[in-house]
Amino acid sequence: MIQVSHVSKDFIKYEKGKGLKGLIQGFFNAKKTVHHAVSDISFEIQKGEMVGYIGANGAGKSTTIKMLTGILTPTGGEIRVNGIVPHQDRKSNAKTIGVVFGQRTQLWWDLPLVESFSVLKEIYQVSDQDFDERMAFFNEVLHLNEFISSPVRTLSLGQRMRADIAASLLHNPQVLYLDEPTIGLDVQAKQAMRLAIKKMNETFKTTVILTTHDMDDIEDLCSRIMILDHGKIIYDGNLQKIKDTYGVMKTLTLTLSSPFEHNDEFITSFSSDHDITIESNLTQVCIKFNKQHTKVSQLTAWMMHHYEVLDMSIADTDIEDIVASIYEAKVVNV
Amino acid sequence: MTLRPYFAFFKAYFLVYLAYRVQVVLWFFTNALEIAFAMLLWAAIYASSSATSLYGFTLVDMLLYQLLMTLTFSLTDMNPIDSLLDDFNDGKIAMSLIKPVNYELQIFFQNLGANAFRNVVLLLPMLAIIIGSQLLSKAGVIISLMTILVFIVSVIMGLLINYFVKFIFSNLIFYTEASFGLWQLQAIVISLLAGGIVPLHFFPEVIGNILRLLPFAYIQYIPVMTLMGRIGANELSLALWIQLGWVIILGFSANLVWRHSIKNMKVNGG
Repeated sequence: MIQVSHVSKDFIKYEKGKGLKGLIQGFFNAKKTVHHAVSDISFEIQKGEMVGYIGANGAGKSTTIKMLTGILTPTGGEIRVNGIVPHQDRKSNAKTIGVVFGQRTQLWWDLPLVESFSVLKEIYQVSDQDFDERMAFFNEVLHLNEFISSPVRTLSLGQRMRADIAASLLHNPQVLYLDEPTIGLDVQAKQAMRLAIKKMNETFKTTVILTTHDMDDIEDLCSRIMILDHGKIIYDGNLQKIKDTYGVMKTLTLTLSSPFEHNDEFITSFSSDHDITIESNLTQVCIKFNKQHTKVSQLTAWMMHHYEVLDMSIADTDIEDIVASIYEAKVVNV
Repeated sequence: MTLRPYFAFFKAYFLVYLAYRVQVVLWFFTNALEIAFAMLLWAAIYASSSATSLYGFTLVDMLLYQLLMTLTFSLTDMNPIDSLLDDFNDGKIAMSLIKPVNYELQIFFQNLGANAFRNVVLLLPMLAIIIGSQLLSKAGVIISLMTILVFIVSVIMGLLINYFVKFIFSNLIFYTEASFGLWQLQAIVISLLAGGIVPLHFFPEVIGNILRLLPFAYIQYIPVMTLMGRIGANELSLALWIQLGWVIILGFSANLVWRHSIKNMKVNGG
């Protein structure tokens, strides 16, 4: 469905100096710097897949999406979406894709929402019957009728995003690009969005590429993730696998009645394993350990034997921490 | 290719203006004031001069010229610069480029929608003033059906020239990133060279002749001169051919410039 091979995108930036002097200097002799937004990325996505595309701010996620949608021309490499080279044939590519940029809207700001849908109906040449059916579906999942006749500028962010996702799906696209679709939304709105995306995927085998900072989106929707860092893909694969590999660490947090003291006995009891760290601040103790080497029961039993434990909690490492540790390490061995 | 989606853009922009009723009323009065000021100014200039005619224009001719220029300005008015500035500066252009539409045509029809709305509001009062003031007969201008037909053709070509010139101008934004200065520059340059401030007859002959070859004169000046019967039959057909030539040259150039821009585009923000 989507083939990306050795794609790069460079931006040329002109540095501008400070103040009036810098501006004038820059006007005559601008300093050119080349910024590699994306360098040599390759991947393939099959029909019906839902892929999470994650990375820190400025990692190159949006640039990739913009190249896939044909807005930007890659500096090097080749992209094919459904056999089409997007930047060469932007219009035919656009007929089969839906796009949501969370920070922007494709709706007409000054017009009642319903007018935006009738313009989109004309743009994509959706038949009356399809239009009615799909609008009914969107209304069921996204409750559009509550605000369909209000001007878009008067909608709340949650309402606007719901309308935007409906707008991107009106022509039943084969590929859906979602660039931070749940940014700034409350839990309820996020759930409605995810439900709509899931249903479209199940019903029409829509291929979905999702960039987000919300790991719940990823866990809820995607089975495959790609992690991007400084324009390079550092991980591409199964979500569960990365969780198994990096998610073996657990965190035990305790509140004791007396200050914790580091002692040799504790270290020797568990020192067979280097994957253990203890941080303590008087009565607060935080132990991170590898569940494959250290048993929770042993650890808690030892603590309870030596101290009076007032409170205790055990947490799994969530995907966010996993991603953070991958960013730091920049090497993935799975 | 079907034009249906583009009519949807046309309609949407027509409706956008309808949504801002107060703005339309204010804009209407601004126009009326502008005409009134220009007319008072010309009346004062003629009163202080001993001659009844300046460069072949009597006061009545001049008042008619101002009215017709305003009318033609409104008919040919297109603002792709505003649309494009808006789209480029905050990266909104991305939202247009993800749609299966021709961006150039989209912007054209959006502007045409806005133009149509303004003229629905302005045309009737303008015609009422021109006919009511009897300036046409006072200036000895006889308008035949043929004149009106030629005027309409000329106005359509003027609109296209105006649109293409501004479209090309807007693309300079890509290279200079100096949007506000550029906006002011184009407004003054086009207005002066197109005869919006004083008739081209007022310029020294050499400059006037050069200006008559540049595209700007063909936006409003030539249509108005046609209507006022100041272009002879032979000159008229030449003027229309030159006008058509500019439409074609500028249309191609606009397309070329746009292709270059879109290849080198950075999409700001997000």
